[in-house]
Amino acid sequence: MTQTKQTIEEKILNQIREHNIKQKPKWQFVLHTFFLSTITLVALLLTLYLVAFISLISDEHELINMFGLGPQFTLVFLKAIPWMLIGLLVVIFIILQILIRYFSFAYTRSVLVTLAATFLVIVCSNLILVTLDPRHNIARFGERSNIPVLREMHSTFRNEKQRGAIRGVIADISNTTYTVETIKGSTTVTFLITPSTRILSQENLKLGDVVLVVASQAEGFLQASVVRNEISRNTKDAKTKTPLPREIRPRPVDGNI
Amino acid sequence: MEVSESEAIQQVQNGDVNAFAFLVHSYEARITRYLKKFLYQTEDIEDILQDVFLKAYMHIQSFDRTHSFSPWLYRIAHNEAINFLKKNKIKTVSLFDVDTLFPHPIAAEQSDIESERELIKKSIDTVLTDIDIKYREILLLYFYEDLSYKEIAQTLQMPVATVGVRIQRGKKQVEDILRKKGLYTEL
Repeated sequence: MTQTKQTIEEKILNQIREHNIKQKPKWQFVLHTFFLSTITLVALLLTLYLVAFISLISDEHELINMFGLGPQFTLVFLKAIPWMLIGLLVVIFIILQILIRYFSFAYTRSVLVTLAATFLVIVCSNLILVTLDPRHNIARFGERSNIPVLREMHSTFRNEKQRGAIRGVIADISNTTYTVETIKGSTTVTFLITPSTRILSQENLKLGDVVLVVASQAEGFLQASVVRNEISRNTKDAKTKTPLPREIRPRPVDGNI
Repeated sequence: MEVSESEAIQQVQNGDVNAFAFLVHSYEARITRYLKKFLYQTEDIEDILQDVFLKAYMHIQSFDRTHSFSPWLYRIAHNEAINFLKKNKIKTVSLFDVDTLFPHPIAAEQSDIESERELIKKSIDTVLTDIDIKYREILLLYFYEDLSYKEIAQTLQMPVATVGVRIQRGKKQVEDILRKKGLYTEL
């Protein structure tokens, strides 16, 4: 028995000497840990940024206000959700989860507990971000920076006005169009009004009214599918007027904007 | 002169190859027993054992001396055993096993009396080849290698609560197999 033990010990030592097996230097492990920590940190920051960006998109596309439009707009609402960003967020979240579990501080917890903890940390951090940064400055970082992917991501998702809804003040009305100055973006958007456009208002829409417009891209124009009067700027005046039928159908479109 | 395990590790980390012989000597029997019982069907135990110690030598700079050495070494042995099973296309435990997915209530570490432990060890030996791999390894580490729940959790990188749950389920499976074979005596 002792002979066998010695043989194995000797075999191992002989292999180390004969094959000149070296210990991996400590700096390699330190570098490895540093590398993984950096990736974890970057993934965490990217997750936070994406959550902030999705929050900005949801805000600009009035996703919350679209809830009130009724069940017939469920499909429009679902289409307006930035699924691609959410998918990207989920992928990064899974990578983050694997990285966190790689470090020993997470191995004593079950997958669901670490998953829930990571999710909670991200949601809480985002709530703090939204509170401290109501103008979404952090989410707009990509807009200001020269990082190519972020810039493209911003222009792609934030210019998609046909997705979701736009909330703003009516700046101009013609027979076939409404021009709305957005409240959040301070930009002007012109919508095509067609016979199929539903206008949800107690009174005739007029300049200065705050409206929520759901529109989609059609033949190069933004075609409004619903215009809902939010809060009339002249509420006192609105109260004195007799309410009109809920839906007012404008004349059919006979030309471009 | 007698050297402690910690001193030997420090000497190896400082480049003393001979000090590594002390560690091999201290753990060789335990790791061999663990591998033999875990990979009962193989004749390559000696090769795997050598790989375990060579890997331990190569990675010893990553070992933190403030921690216990045995879970670290068993972890390497576990990885080598799993690699062997995968190479030979023998089913192993999946990465996202249900046991590690959901939280379990903390299962208190049981202080089994010595005679009971011996009986359980004999029972495990009798039906070793029939026990599911995920229970087999944990039962071996607990009953044969005398590792604590915490050390097993460190070795297998799973929650401590899962260790307790798997030991209980493993014991139950051993009991069921013994019953089926008509060999059951009260554990």
